[in-house]
Amino acid sequence: MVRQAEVRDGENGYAPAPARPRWFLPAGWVLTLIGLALSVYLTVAHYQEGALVCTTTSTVDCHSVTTSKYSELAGIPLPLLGLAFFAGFAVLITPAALRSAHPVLRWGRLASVCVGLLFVVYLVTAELAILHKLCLWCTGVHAVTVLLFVLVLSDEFRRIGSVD
Amino acid sequence: MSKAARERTARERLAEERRRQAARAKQRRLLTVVLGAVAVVALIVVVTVIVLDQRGQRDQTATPYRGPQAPLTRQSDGSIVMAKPGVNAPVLEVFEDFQCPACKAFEENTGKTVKQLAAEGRAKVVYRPFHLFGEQRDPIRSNSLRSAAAALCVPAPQWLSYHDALFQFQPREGSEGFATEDLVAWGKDVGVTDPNFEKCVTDQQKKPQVDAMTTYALQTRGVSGTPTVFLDGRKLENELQDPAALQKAVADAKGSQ
Repeated sequence: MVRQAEVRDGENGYAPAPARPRWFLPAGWVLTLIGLALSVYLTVAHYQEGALVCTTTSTVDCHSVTTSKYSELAGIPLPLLGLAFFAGFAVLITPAALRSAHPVLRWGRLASVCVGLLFVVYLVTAELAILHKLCLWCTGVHAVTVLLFVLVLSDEFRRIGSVD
Repeated sequence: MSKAARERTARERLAEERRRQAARAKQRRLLTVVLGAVAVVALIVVVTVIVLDQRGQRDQTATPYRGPQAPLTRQSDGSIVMAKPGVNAPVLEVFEDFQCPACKAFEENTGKTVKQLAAEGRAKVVYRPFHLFGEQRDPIRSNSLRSAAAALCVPAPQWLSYHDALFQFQPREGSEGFATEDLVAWGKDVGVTDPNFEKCVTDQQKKPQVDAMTTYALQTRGVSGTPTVFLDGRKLENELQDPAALQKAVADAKGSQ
């Protein structure tokens, strides 16, 4: 069996991936789909200002955040970047991509969630330190991104810690 | 078990232990590299965002206008009237869009004269800001709308200061600007203390009135570009960039009444 695995992966010359916990795939997909849904909503709300539903208090105010200059980066609306991120990540966690031990996919997953986490840091800084307002929908996207980071890092941690 | 077999088993156990240790070292390295790199870059991001914000704020602080002016009142249609008590004519109406570069040029050349005419009781000035650029692409369209809606949230006493600040900080045509937080901040800079002001600007509460003022300008009054200035209903042309000609036109209008 070991030999078969070596032969199969020998085409690429990479070690086979040890089995993941069963909850990894559903957890990854649930988070990614939530992220996608929130990004689609925020993208629509970016172009149709009336579409954004949010309670408004002294600290929670979606409109202040989504119409601020921090709602775009180099002219690209951030919800659109979020959409691209979750769509790309969905490709990286398809069963085929997860079965593959190709380093581009493994490190692609890790690199993408690291970039995602840095965007969260950037946006939360803008919300808390500059705008002094929080957008609840955006916070949902941030939470999903942080959880994906934890998920992918723990997966990679488990993988390189496996002796077999 | 033979001695050779026992030695082989011991060697295998040792090798196994070494593999485990190597794997644990790799795990530690992974956490150190990933978490360390993310933490360092995150720190750089936080500092950069805050520094850029503070630098941006220093560049754009609105100052209250303290030059010549007449009492200001906000009309029910959203327009602002600036006139000394009892002065009802001639009426100088100024149709402007805060994103319009020609309006900025008009304000720089002739804006002071307009205020002077009102301050001296020689004219009743009516400011009619509207959203001329509704058909333009973003960000021109959205800059124009945000600024027009924000200006309607400003109480009459601070109108001139805010109006001047909008032209002073007018974004270059085609670039992002008039950010909501700036529109709020400039209001506070020039002394707006109304607790509802921020929400009014942020939620664009005055958008319906902007729409009504835009319909009035474009359809009722036939304004097709900005700035458009009417003197007692007559559209001025060359006087817009010539303060002396504007003063003469106002004097002539007053003389004929």
